Amino acid sequence: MRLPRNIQNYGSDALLLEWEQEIDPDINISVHHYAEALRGHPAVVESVAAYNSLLVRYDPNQLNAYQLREWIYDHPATESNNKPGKLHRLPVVYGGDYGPDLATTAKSLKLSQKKLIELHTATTYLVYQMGFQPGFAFLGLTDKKLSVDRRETPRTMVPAGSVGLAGRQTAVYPNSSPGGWQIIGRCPTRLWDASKFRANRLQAGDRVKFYAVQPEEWTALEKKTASWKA
Amino acid sequence: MESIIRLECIKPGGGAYLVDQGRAGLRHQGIPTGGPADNSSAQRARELLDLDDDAILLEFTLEGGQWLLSGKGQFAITGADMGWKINGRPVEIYTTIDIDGDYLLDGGFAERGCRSYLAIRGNWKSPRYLGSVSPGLPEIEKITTGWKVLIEGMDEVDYSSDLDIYQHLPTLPLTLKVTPGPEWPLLSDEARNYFKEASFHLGQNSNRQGVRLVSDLDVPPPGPQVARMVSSPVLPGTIQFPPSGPIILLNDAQTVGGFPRVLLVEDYADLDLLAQLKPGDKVTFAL
Repeated sequence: MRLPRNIQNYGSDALLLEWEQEIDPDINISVHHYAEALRGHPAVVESVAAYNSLLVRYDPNQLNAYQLREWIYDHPATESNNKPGKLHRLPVVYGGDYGPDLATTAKSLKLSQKKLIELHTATTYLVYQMGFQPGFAFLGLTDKKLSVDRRETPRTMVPAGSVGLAGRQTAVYPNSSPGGWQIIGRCPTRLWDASKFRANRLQAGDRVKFYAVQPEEWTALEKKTASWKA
Repeated sequence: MESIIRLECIKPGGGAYLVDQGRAGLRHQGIPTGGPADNSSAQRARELLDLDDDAILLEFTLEGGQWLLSGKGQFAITGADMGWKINGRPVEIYTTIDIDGDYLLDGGFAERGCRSYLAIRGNWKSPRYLGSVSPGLPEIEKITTGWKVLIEGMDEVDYSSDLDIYQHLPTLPLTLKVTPGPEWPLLSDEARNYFKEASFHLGQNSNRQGVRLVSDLDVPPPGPQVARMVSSPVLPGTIQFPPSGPIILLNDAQTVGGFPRVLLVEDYADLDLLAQLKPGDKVTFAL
C-alpha cells in the first residue's frame, strides 16, 4: 500500500490527496483503497479517484479540513479492509466496420493486425479512473508496442461499445459520443444503464480482460449479456 | 381539484433544459453533478410557487424561445430578464401568474443575465435518470421543437411577487474571490501574472459545463513544470488552464481533467452569478 505524498485543501469543502506524479498500478490501487475507505466516513459526501490522486469532498458542517486530514493520517488504508475490484471479461469484434482504425493503427505501430489484437487481448487492464463522460473507464496500461497518438481529427460520433486506444490507455465508449481515440473494435456487452442505481458496469479499481470474437457472434453476445447488480 | 397542464416547445430559443437538484454524489462514476446552472434563481422560482427543492424547472439560455402552455394552474419565471410575453402581453417575472386556457409564452434575448427559469406548480411527468432530469446523460431527451411535457396541477398557492427582479444578477464587472488551485505553485511567473493582471471577459463558447475566459493579452504557456500533468479530479468552480485560455467549470463539469487547475472559486454561490454572465461580460479575479 502506497501512502499519499501530499494532502492539501481543495477549496472550502474538499481535500486533494496526491501520490507520485506517475501512472502506476500500485499507486492507482492504493488510490482506490483510500477512495473506498473514505467513502465510509460519515462526513464524506464524495470521493473521486483518478490515476494518482483522490478528491474527497466533505460536509464542512460536520468537520473541518484539519480534522479530516488527521483522520486520514490516523487511518492508513490497508489491503485487508477492502475487497479487490471485479474482473470483467469483455468480447471485442476487431477491425472492419467495428474497428475502422485497426488497419491504420497497426500500420503506424508496424504490427500486423493479428499481432495488435494479440497484444490487446493479452493484458489484464486496471480501471484507473472514470471520467471524460458518464461511465467512461480509463483502462491501462497497454503494452508498450501499442502506444499510439489520438486521431488528429476526433470523430464527431463514435458508436457505443467502440474500443479505442490512446497513449498507453484503452477504453470502451459506454455510449455513442464524439471521440478522438483510435477505434480498433467494438464490444457487444452493454456497459451503461441509467435505469440502474449503479449505471456503470465497470467501476474504478475493477479489472478488464478482452477476448476477440467474430462479427457473426455479435447479435448472440449482445443478447446474452448478463446484467449487473444494483 | 386536479388539472393537467401541458407545455410544448414551439421554438427552443438559445438552449432549454429540464433541471432539478441534479445528481450529487456520483462524480466517482464519471457522472457530473448537474442541476440548475444558477441555483439561486431556480430556488426562488420554486419558492414563489411553494414547490419542493427537487421540483423540476425549465432552464432557458440567452433566448427564451416560444412555448405553448395550456391548462389551469400557476407559473413563475425568475433569473435573466428575457422580456417574456404571454399572448403578446408582457409577463412580470418574479411573480406568481395564474393561467386558465391556452397561452403562447414568448421569450426574447436576455437583456440582463443569461439564464431564465420557468416553474409551473405541479408534478412534471418527466422521467428521472439516476434521480434527475438534468442534462448530461445519453438517456436525457433533448428539447427541440415538438417536445412536450404533462404536468399534474396542484392546489393554488397565494400570490407572491418580488420587487427586485435583478436580485440574482451580478453587478459588472463580476469580481470573483479565488484561491490557488493545486497547480498554481507550478505555473511560470508569466502565467501567474496573466491571471493577476489580464482583464477577462466571457467567451462565446461557454455552456453549462463551463465558461471560457478571453482577454486582450496572449495566453502564456503554463510553464515547464505543468507540461506533463497526469489527469486528476476537478469540481464545479475549478479554473482550468488549457492552451486556449482559462475555463471556469460549472455544475455540468466533467469529473476529471488533464489541464492545470490554477485557481478555485472560493464561494460556490458565485457560480450562480457566473451562470448569469453573457459572452462579453467582464470578470476579474480577487486573489
